[in-house]
Amino acid sequence: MFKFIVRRILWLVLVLFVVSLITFTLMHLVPGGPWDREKQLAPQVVDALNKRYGLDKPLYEQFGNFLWGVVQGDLGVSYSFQGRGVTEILLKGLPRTAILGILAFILAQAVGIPFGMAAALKQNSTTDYASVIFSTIFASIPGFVLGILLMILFSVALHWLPTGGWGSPLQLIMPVICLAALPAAQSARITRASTLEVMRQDYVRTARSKGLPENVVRVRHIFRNSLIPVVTVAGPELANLITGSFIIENLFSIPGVGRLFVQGVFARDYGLIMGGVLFYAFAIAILNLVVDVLYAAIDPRIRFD
Amino acid sequence: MKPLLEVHNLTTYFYTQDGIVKAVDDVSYDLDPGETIALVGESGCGKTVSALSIIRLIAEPPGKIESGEVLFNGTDLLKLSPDEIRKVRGAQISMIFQEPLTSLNPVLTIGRQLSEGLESHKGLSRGEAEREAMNLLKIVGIPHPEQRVHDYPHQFSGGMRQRVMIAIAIACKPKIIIADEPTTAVDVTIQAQLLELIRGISREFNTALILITHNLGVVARYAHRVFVMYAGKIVEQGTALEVYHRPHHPYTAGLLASVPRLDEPRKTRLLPIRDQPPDLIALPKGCAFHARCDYSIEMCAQQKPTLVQVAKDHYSACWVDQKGHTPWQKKSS
Repeated sequence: MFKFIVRRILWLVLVLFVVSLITFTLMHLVPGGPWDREKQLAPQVVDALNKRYGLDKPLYEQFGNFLWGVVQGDLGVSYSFQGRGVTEILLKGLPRTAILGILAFILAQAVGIPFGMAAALKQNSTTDYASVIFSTIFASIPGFVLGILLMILFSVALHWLPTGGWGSPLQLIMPVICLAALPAAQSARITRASTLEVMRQDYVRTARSKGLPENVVRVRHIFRNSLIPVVTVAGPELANLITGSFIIENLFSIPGVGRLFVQGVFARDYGLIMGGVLFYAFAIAILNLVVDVLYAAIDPRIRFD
Repeated sequence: MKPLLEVHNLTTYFYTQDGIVKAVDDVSYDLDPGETIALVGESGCGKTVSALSIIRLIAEPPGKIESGEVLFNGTDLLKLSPDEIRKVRGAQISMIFQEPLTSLNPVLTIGRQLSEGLESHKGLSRGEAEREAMNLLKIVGIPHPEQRVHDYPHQFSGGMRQRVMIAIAIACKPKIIIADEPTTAVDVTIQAQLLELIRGISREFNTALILITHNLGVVARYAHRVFVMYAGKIVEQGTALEVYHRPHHPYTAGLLASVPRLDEPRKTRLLPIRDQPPDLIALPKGCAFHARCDYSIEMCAQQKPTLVQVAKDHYSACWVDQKGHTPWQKKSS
């Protein structure tokens, strides 16, 4: 297993390099630059800014400097946030995004998995049909539509919840629900399908033939097996949620990593774009690695070789 | 001696979209303590369903035990509550399934799959149950049981897994073991070993055995009595010796003729039974076998034959036989 992890980390380094290179190229191919304003800046000012941030140097040298900084743990400086470090900015937004993401993940699994199991155990019952209908609805409604609908109901009509911002637990409720809707629907569907399949397996009949109590058959023999595909999907879902949602954070004015990143793109903030992309790539790769390692703990047939 | 198990008029149907599948239709048999009986027939003739119905392992829906009674030591198993039948399963009556590859849970260790029944029925602690699991693995001939209890099913070969299934079946020292084609899925070289193992265990613990098979060679060697099933019904029953040497039903004779024998000239061709078994949804009016039977007479298509005693402990359901003709019996034997 140790060898497996080392190999994956070496791959990760290569992936991050390629991601940086592609982002850097695309960023400089796009017309416009960090100093474009509605009111044109004086050419001397632009020259001075370019010189100060090293943008007057050839591109390969700029890329090299960026990489050298990354190796030392420095993602460079932001141009739109008055020269603050990208690392510092991202670290400030990260806890907010992570809290949001983890809460949404917990909510999604806590609702989706039991719902899917209940639906499978009572196939063709009201519970089952309800699970299929709800999961289809929530899998199809985009997060921002759901967000606006929730705002109309809970903020505009009922005045129960604030429309956005950060600081109080009340402000978390709507964004967490919006983020959780899709993964909850997916988990419910996958849990239902895999539980239905596992229930028909010969080893479940064997378990029953041993005279085990029904709850033991369910927990030990059915659910343990039916959750394997759920975990497979939950890994990328978690990575997705923790790295934040551009749309939901903007909709609810949450100063998380996702919103910062969108601001960075609009401002052609080269430093923030590079840092943000690299951070996302790193987080997703690491979370996937963690899931792969956890996976082996659930399913003994999986071996690292 | 009072039989250990009496199955009376058992009828199990499956309700499918295409119609009602009469998988088991008015089947009766009995089993004495320590005895081995065989249920014989082609695939889909209802042998497995009739055995699964005994301990109510039929999936409901689509299946349903329509009528009949299953008396185990005088208690009707079909009338027990779900919790009461659960206490019979594994503890009094256990099963060995056909597919050792899929009948073990892939994510639990062999030890766990052996010990859970012991914990549940005998109230053993986890540690005691694990020691007993090792002992059971030793009984069924698995080398290094102290290591192998911690292994997972995928680390075992097919034959070894079937030994584990046997160990699970005997864990609580049941009175009856139902072995559902226990050797179909394993190598020919392993089949005899496993059957000898099952027979040895049933003798040692005085366990009665219901052997479900389509292999008449196995029947002749291991079973005391035979019940030949066709299209959900028993068409012939008797002692293994009787049925083997003097079949009173043309279907039994057909099965015997389609088994290769070493004691016959090598040029003798095997005679398969022609055509396919009938559709259990739409059974013919008369004898279910008449369309495939070389000896059928007019009556066969009109009326269903019933089991009639033809010799001591020997019954057959065939109109031709009941008229006194048995042209399918070989003159020499």
